[in-house]
Amino acid sequence: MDRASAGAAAGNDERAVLMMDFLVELWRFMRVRKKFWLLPILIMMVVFGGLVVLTEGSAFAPFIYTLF
Amino acid sequence: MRILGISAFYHDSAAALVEDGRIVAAAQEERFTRKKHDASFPHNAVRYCLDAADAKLREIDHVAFYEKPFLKFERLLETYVALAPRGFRSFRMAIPLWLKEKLFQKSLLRNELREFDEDFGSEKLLFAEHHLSHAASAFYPSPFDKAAVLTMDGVGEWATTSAAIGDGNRLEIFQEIHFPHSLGLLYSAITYYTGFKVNSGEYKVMGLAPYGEPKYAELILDHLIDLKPDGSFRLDISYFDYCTGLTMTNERFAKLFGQPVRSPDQLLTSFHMDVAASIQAVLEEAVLRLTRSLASRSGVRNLCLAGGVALNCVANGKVLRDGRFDRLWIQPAAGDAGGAVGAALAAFHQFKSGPRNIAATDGMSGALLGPEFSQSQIERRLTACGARFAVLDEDDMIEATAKALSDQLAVGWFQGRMEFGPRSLGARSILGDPRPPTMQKNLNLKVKYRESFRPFAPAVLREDVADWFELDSDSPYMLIVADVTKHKRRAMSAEEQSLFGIDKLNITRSEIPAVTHVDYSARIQTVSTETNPRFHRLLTRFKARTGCSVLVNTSFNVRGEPIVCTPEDAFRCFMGNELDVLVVGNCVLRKSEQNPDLKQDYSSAFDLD
Repeated sequence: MDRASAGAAAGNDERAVLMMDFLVELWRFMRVRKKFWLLPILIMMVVFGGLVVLTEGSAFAPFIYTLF
Repeated sequence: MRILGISAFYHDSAAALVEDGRIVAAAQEERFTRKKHDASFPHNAVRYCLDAADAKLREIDHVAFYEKPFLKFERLLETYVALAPRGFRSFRMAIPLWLKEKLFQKSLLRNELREFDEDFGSEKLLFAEHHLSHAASAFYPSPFDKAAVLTMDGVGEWATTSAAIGDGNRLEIFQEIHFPHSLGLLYSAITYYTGFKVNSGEYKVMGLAPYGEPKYAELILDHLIDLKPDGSFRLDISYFDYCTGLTMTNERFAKLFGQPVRSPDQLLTSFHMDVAASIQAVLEEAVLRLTRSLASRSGVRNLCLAGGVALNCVANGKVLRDGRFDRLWIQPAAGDAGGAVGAALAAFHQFKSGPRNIAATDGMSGALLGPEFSQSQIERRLTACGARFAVLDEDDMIEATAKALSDQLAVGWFQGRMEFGPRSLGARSILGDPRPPTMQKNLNLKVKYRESFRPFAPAVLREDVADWFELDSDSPYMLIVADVTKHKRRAMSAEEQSLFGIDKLNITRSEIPAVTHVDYSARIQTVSTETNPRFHRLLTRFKARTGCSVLVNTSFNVRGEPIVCTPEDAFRCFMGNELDVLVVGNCVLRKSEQNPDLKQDYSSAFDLD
């Protein structure tokens, strides 16, 4: 593996760890706040949120609007 | 232990550094970026705080953020769900922003902080609740061992008002009022309705209020806010648009008052003055009920205030005179910028159980917590700007400034560390003689380029405050309003008394008309040798020349511009408006001696606030 691809792999690993941290914290937050009814909304949003980030927003936007 | 506090991403981002419970440095990002109310991550303020403590980020034990993003997101979602399908437009704008950025604030903060330390890990990050940050910023730097703490603002996560008890190094919030019921948002709604900018125009509503009569106070109490005897309240949200829309008020609100929302370029009429007077009266009543109930419930005699509503110095003055509390201390950076200080202090005392050392005056060092420049740096920087200046020794500089002021010249005064918080307190100030009847109008229109109705604040020698104002306690942060004493007032003729609105402004109401509002009130800053010795010397010298121990003290900027931070900012502002003299450290600059080619068109350089 050359240096550039090793760096990219490390970056991807770090992003995955960060996302896992985020989900764990979100779960803990809902448990403490007893707001499990937010879960379906949040799952939808996090999934679409990921797509929004990946697509930088604009191209994906109309798709979200039709769903909400 | 060193803790860096950060407030950011909403408005007025700032950073503060606390070392073993002592506030070492604090600054707002807007002062560095020159963008008023800058909400971006405070890179410059963080860099300044680290430099001031001579520390690297890796030597910092924790970084404390001033609010909890998940809780805020929960509030947003629940509000949208509760009010659906109304609010779709607002939802459509807010949610992408949250999903792209704000929900991931922990990683965002971590990434931003890696600019200062590439190994910075998120395990160092702590999050304090918004109102705990405000309460901590009010209690921990206060000179009280035990105190009741009241915080009131627009909204944080859920809380809009909270009551707490501080005792030693512990601070417990015991009551909260939640969104959408908010005194701050009610005041902001009127700010919007009277044509001023929300989050910055609230001062103008407060300044406008004395010109009007509280004719609509009953209407507000009958329809907009249900105010209970203990100070708790509920708003009728059917009159407001902020939960679901992109404005503060709706059609129903306008119908209730009988006039549409004023546009910023529309003339201010007696109607707007009456509306301002009415909301001010209602706010004062609500705050007094809250503080009275807090006094009887807590049984303590000291009160600390913070949150944006605590910047309403007219209400603060009434709380002090109400006598339920013996002593009152208000965080000078009561708005969200002060959350940076509060988050860091909460992390140290609450989270780390760090001990508290109570300072005799307070722990804010006169709010002089920002950058400073040595005399040699000042000379080098001014020379690089092309400024022509004389360097005097301290006594001559004070004498020259006092003389310029007594000659009724407008003076820019730049000394020592910059203030933290929205007020200029004699470190980055524009000063003037309060005695000439034309000073207020001239300073407003020619130096500050702002509305002529806005009053100026007096800075007065602490030892002389009772001679000039109906106040005999400290007000070092210009956060208490009191009346000019009766023997300094001038009796008005019947004709003058019959004037109304802004026409009242041109009447000379006291020996110090430039700082006397139309109702004889003044927003007082007491100056003592402990917190600001150089400014105290200047006031003393001015008194020796004129017999008057009061100066006009207004922020060193023009309308819409952040207060100056560096000698270069001060020189630019000096060359852009009609200031006559600029004093930076021991350098004295006169406008008539400057190179005219360096003049700037400053009147439209900044967006109006």
